[in-house]
Amino acid sequence: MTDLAVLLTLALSAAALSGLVWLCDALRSA
Amino acid sequence: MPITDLLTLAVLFGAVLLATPHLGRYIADVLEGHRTLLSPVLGPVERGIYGVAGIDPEREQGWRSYTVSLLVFSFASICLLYLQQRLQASLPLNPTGVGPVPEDLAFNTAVSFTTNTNWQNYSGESTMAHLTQAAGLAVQNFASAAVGIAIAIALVRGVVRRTSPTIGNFWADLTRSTLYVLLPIAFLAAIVLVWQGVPQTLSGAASATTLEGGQQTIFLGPIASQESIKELGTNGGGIVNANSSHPFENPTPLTNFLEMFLILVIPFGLTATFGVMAGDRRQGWALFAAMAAVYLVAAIVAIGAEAGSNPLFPAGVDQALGNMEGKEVRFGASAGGLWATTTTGTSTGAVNAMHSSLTPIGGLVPLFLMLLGGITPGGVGAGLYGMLVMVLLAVFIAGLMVGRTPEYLGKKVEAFEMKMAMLVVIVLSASILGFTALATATDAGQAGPLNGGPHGFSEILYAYASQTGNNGSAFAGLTGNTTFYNVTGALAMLIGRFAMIIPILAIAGALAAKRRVAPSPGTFPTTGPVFVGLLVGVIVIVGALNFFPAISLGPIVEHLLQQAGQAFSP
Repeated sequence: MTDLAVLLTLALSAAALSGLVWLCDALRSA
Repeated sequence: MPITDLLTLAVLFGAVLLATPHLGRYIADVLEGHRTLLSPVLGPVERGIYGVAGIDPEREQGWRSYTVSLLVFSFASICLLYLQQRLQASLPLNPTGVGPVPEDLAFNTAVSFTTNTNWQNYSGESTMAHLTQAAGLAVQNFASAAVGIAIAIALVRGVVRRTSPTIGNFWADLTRSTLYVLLPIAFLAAIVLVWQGVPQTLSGAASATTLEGGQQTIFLGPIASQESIKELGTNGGGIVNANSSHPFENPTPLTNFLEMFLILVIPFGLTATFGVMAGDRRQGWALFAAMAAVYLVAAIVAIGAEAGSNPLFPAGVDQALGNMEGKEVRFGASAGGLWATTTTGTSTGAVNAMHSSLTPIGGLVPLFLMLLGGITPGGVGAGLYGMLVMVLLAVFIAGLMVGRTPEYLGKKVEAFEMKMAMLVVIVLSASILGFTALATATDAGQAGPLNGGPHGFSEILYAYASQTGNNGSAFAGLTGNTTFYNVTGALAMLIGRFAMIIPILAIAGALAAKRRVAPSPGTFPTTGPVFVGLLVGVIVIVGALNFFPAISLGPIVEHLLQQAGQAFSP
């Protein structure tokens, strides 16, 4: 595993969690 | 049943019981910005931090802003700690001359310490430089614990406030938790540890000439300062590989007792914080009672299990001292069971005995406590907010039974809150069972366990339960330092921490915005033994329903086969 792969994994994880924030907000607004 | 260990449990619990109302009140005052005993000294420091960082503590945040601030802080911490490990060979304070930490291990470790897990696929003595330990891992020990307290307090504010668009200021909560709660207690505890013989030095190692005339290198480092916050912040990541079974981390029975007390005091204390902030201390005591009930029963079972003997040993082996495999002679067998309960009932993960050497029932106890979600009493902050999610479930079930809209402290528990609560429960189960299934079904995963048969399965299940639950202890037979386990473990830790925090903060935001309903004759009381019994029942049944099949394949089958005289080769 390279440094770049690690940073990419972290970026994807952050994006996924941001998506979860959006989802929770959308469910609350529904 | 060993009387001395039961007495230790009684004294330990008594000390926690005495400390809880005082520490709880103090934490409530700190997080609400009230003046406290340490304000004259730490107040200027706090204001200085706000000035440098540009924080206005009076400017509160809604749940989304609070969550984003938390995620930004945590991911920045992960990246910084990752870089520290990768560059440690070029940085100062590396007296042992260790090289850079490999990429996958550095990734797992950075995620591990930032999520309060402190799962360690490495041996600290031979992998981490002193600068990485003291200025990287130890810093995250404080930061991750403070983040846990901040989330718990945000959820409590959501429960107790009415028609409020905000749940607090994340940066102020983080600063106050660290400055007024964690640092002072950790400092005092470190002094006691040094007094008892725990090393605290930046030098590399000491050399000794053995009786045979050889040279022995004895690792030294800033152990006391990391040990105190390791326990107090329910972190668990030791500076040496053997963790609190090493005489340099845990030299005496007094330090053994002190370290267990440090592990328990804030998680239980936060129940009193909840009671103070709710304006009704009985609410806090109800949560305390539920946590204590499960913890005490588990501790007694574990103590008894480890005091017993292994039926597979030949008849000539003297087992009067109990199951001494993997135990420290200076503490004894049952003390390992008590510590195992304490470390997994919270989300600490420090060990004073090797968990893979516990009896099947002795190993089932810590595993089951983690599978319950680490809420009895749970980690610093994580225990309280996890328990409050179970409270919402219990109140909902009670409402279904009597045909009334469920409410908690005057707030109606409606569809959105239940969706978020179920998301928390499902995320925990999906991560643990999903990754365990992946590992048992793949060659890379099957290469990890040391033991064959059900104990090998237990090693894998325990690993993902520990990482998802942000515990960090391990059945140490598992070879975790492989790309497969480093990456899947890191993902489990991220999911177990942040994918649970986000719905919890959403609940906080939703509850804070509601108005409070006046109690009526039909309101279900949330103090008293009936509620505590219902709450404990919900916790155990939800945990059992989710995980009974898995634990049947592991420790339960192992116990039954051991009684029948069957062992497994690796």
